[in-house]
Amino acid sequence: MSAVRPVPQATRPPCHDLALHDPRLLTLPPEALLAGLGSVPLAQLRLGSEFCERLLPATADLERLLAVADGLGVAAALVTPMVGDAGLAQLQRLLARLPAGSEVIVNDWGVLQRVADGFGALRPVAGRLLCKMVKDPRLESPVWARLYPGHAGSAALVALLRRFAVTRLEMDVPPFARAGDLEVEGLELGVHAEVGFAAKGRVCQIGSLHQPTARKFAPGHGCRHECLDYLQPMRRDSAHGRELPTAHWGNTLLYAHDDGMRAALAGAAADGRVARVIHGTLAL
Amino acid sequence: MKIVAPISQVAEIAPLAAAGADEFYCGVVPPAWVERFHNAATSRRLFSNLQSLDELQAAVAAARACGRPLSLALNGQHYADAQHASLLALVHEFADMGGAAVIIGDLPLLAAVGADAPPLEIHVSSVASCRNSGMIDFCRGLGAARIIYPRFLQLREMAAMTACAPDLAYEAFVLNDGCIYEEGACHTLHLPNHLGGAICIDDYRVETVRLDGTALAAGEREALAENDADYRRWQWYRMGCGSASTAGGLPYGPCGLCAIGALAEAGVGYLKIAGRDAGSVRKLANVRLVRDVLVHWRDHGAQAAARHAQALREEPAHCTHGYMCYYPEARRADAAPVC
Repeated sequence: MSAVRPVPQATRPPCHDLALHDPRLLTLPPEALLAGLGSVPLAQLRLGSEFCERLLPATADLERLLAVADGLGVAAALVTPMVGDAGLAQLQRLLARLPAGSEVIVNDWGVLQRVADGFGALRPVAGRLLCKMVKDPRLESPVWARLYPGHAGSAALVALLRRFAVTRLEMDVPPFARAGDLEVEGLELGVHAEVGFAAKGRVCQIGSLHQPTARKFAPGHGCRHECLDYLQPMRRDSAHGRELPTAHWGNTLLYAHDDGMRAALAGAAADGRVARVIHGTLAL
Repeated sequence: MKIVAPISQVAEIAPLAAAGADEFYCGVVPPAWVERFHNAATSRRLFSNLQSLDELQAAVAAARACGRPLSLALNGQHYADAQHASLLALVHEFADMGGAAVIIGDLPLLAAVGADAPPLEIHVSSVASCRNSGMIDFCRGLGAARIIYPRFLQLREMAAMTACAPDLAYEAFVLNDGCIYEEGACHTLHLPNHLGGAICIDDYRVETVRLDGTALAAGEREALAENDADYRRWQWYRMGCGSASTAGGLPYGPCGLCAIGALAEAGVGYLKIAGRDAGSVRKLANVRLVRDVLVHWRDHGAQAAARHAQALREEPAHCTHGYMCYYPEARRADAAPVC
């Protein structure tokens, strides 16, 4: 394992990262690529899926990310999902192409182990899949989630991550979050803006679209990356009032922030608790 | 291979052992936990747990009387620091009772228990989503002795992982439970039914739209509708075919019986029956079903055991469809060899 790096605390306004959900976005002109950020300055451009190993970037896409980020004068980072051994092997080939000092967003403890084992020049960041908490978009009050506390603020989680040279933990804004809920002691904190994930699976409904019936929804099924073309908004007829907009994107159940959650993130950022805000390119 | 069966009452242990269960697992929610933390979340399941340490002690004693080990599920996805201290104390109390192992899903808790080195085994829950050899190394480094594979792994994936770390023990699902998401990456709650229940079976209307904003073509709409219908059918199978059973009382639901031989070849030594919340009669039927097929495998080989398992189902369509299979590649003639 690499030596533990010192952990800078967030004392200034957060940096802003743009996470691309689709490698085809790298072919856009810079002004189109960054249009969604408005006047917010970009610090890092990210590529890769947090949710699906079928979306591991091709080598050419990774090279294009590095070139586009370099052209924009920003850092590049590879976002990585939960993977099986085949995905782990593919991922290690991608990691070998990252320049020293590059961040890699890790959402699988096995990937973190392998980064520690063989890629000491890279900077692992704990992705939001490693930061677990209740994020049910149907909750009608904060009581439910507070009954089952997450481990975002857990000293035990921070200690474990620091053993593997992680210096930043990323998280979602959960339903009913307050600014004070977005805080980690001992690591930098990154927070995803606008869209969080509630659940993800290995089986993908839309990804099975072009599979023969007998092979649909089977472990390790193939796909044609249908999730890059389709989104599945969901609505309950039985909703009791407040409910976050929800959609299936590939194998993942996403929810959109409401005004309270946006205010929580803005408040935490204003208080200096957030080092990075991660903006996505997928809107619900 | 050994059968690992769930219990939610002490009285279930003796009959399940007689039916062929080799190991047991359970949850417990001590009153002191409820008083302090105002929830029942010592494990992933909020219900169907033993209700006191006395009951847990009785369960350990009953299991040991049958010559069977009992494991304690502390497999919540996440715990706060204050809960860690209570859980560590519970681990030691369980070890003092003679408990055999704790089943853990939260990796920081795994690290804490491993560092504490209590005199029992640490099993990594399916909730931890151990899907690659890197994660096996990670867990072994924290003190794990057994890996419980998550759902939706292929047999050849298990075989490759097991080969990387043959010193650990491996357990895989063989019956029941229909979680359609990654269990360790589902951050929703099984709400009371009047609030929606489990999100995967909640009353959602789903539409499909193109991300480029263009309208769906007619052919697209048809293909999507057919895929949606297939998905709903798959979900029905995952949810236990409506909790149905054969006329003889053998339960339907997610099943890996045909793959018992392949699981053995892949290095899996323990077959997990899910469903602490099932009634005692269903639990008994589950164990008898697995034991029957296991004996058939031992006496007649893998292919004969698979045919026997399908015959027991009495509903060939459920098996040939494939949506009920944990390991559909075990039945497909065109499946690649496991090892």
